[in-house]
Amino acid sequence: MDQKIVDIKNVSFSYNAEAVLEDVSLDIGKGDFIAVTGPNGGGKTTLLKLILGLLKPDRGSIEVLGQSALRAAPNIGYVPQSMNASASFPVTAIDVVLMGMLAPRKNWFKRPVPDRKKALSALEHMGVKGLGDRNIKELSEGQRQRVFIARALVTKPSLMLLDEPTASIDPRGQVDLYKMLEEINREIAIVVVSHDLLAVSRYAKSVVCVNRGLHHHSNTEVPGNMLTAMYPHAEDGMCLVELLTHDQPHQKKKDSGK
Amino acid sequence: MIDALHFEFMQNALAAGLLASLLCGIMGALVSANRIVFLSGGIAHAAYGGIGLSFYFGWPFLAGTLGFSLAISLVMAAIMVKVKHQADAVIGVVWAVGMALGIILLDLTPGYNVDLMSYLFGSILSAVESDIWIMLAMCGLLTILTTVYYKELLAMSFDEEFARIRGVPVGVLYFGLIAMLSVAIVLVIQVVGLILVIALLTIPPFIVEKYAKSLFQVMAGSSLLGAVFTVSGLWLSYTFDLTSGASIIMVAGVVFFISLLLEQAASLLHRKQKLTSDK
Repeated sequence: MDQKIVDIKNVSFSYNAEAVLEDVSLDIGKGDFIAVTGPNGGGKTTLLKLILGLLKPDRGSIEVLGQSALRAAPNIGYVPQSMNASASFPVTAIDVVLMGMLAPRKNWFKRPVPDRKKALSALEHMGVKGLGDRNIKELSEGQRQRVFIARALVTKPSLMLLDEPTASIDPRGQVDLYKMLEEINREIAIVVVSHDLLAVSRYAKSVVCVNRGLHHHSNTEVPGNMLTAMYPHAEDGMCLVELLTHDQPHQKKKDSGK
Repeated sequence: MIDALHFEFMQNALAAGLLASLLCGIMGALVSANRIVFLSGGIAHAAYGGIGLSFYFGWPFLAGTLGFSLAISLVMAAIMVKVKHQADAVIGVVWAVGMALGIILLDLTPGYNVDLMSYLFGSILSAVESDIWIMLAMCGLLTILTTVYYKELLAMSFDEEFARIRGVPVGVLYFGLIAMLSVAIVLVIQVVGLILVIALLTIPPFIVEKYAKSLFQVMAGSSLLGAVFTVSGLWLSYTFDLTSGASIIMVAGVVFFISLLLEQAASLLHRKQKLTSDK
């Protein structure tokens, strides 16, 4: 039976008076690997923050594992976009992972005991075990990304959300990252926000397009009408061609001829 | 310097300077990590309004100034949270208006002529024993609080959103941090002056951060470095008969520029080595 992890029903959200998401519904089930795409300002990050409970919907409801979003947040692993914190922050990789294990205190006068073993095994899982005692500013962008994924995974969540994880990683590293996500996906549902639709569509099981509204495509084929719906500027040919030829040059002729 | 220590005022100055270094080292690490240097400047300057109020209404000095600074800093913190993109401008306004309010109230206070310079640069040489006891108590409180809530403070400073997801009460912690900051600033200003507080809050963490592996190391290193600045500054001021606060800041400033130069030289050397090894 399909087990629902996230249940979003008719959610609307606006910043000030500007509608970002309107009447959006989405189910995320066990084993899902969903790529979220859409234009800038289309509401991709907002959707993630709603699932995390960092934002509250104006209308509609969001349930995560049958609870309110914020209450269930500890069961979600989150890898934010290119790090909110500056990369020069004085902190070691293992301390970053340990932050993933923080939980609300029961006793405000007793310090929590850190579980370094768990943190180390999370780093090992991501292939960066030896970097635990390094300062994060000494790490490459790709290594840092792995540390943040380890932070997200250390609590063994049932869902992991990643916001533009490939934005500052070279193509080789992107492939590695997606392969790693594919592996993780055997146990954990994944939602990844990405501009690079074609790169992610090879690994994702379904694609969600967010542009105020939300379209869920259960397979990852990229029909032309979907692109024109989500990227209206593609009419002049530029965006559509760029998008489709970005990663698959052999498709160039066919698509630019459209 | 050793014979200078026979003077009680010098002993007090030294103790006050060391305690100020510790307070500013701990707070400075947190200020830098949370990028609230400008807010600290706002609190420090607006506190002058509290001094004016205390004198005008005849309130007890410390209570009046502390109460006013605490209130105004929490208002500024709320602005930081609510209207992030305009926070800089609003803090600038509070900064200026608080200071102006203080000056006007002191103008209006009959028979009182306070020297603005002593507020700006302090008079560490006139520190008295009661100042030192209050600072010591504050150091103790601050050390305990940062030790107990270190993990949460670290998580909030590093990545506020993620901390919130993991159930860290970021709001309470943030306002708590600002409240502590304003109390620490007011206590230290009383003794060493506003300019020295800002210097001790910003310069040591800036230097130490490059070499530190943890927020704790920044706190400890900044406190030590601040202590070195204070002691050598006091020694220079005693030997060459210079203003003490300004001497301490000059020492800090010189070390700051040296550390910048060293960093440049190191990165240049690093590049050169890389070039030769690539060949």
